[in-house]
Amino acid sequence: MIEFILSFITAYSTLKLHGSNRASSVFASSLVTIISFLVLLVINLVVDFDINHFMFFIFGASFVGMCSKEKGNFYQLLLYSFLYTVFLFNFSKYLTGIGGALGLSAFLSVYLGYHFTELISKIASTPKWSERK
Amino acid sequence: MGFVAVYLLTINLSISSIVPSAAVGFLSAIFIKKYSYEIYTGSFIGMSSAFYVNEVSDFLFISSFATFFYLLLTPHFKGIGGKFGMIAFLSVSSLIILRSFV
Repeated sequence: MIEFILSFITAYSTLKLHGSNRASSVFASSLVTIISFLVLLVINLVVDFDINHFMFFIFGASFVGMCSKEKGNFYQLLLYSFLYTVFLFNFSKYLTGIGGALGLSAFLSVYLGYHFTELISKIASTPKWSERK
Repeated sequence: MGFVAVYLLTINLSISSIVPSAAVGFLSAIFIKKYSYEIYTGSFIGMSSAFYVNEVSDFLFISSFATFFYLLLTPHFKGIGGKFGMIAFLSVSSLIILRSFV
């Protein structure tokens, strides 16, 4: 659960950073990751935990936030973050050591999540059979 | 460039590959803005472990694959987050698959 919350916060802040300012998505993603790392380092001084485990989620979630504003509103990002967390939990054990595994999980979550929301909105906007003439 | 920088930083400093990758992306977004996306893609490839990527020829092959996939896929997935990571994954996977045949 904490991984999902962290993923969503990271994705949302990345999207807001490159969406509202003139910052590029690369700048937003890397900056959010570096700041998160520093924050986790400080917290780790007080509470002992595995920083790398959470950093994997945060770094990949920043890729989720690199999507364009048109493809990522608040609710879509919630869905993407959820899918991303599920994918990463299940894929990470098979893809250890292969570069781009985080990006693959992020890409799949955004791609599938976006088309799922598009499909739902199309179904919702289609008139019911009884209303058709 | 991003690939080599992250790979060398991770191997030599014995630290998690995430921070070097983010640092390379951050610096490229500030100083080499024009090619920051390509460099960031390369930095994801550099996150591969030395078990999979350990020879100079691997660097050349992966960079070639990454360029091919970047040019091929980027126009089709505009606005989709994670496509650069996916390109990096495809490049490294291609090398692993190619190596299994040789």
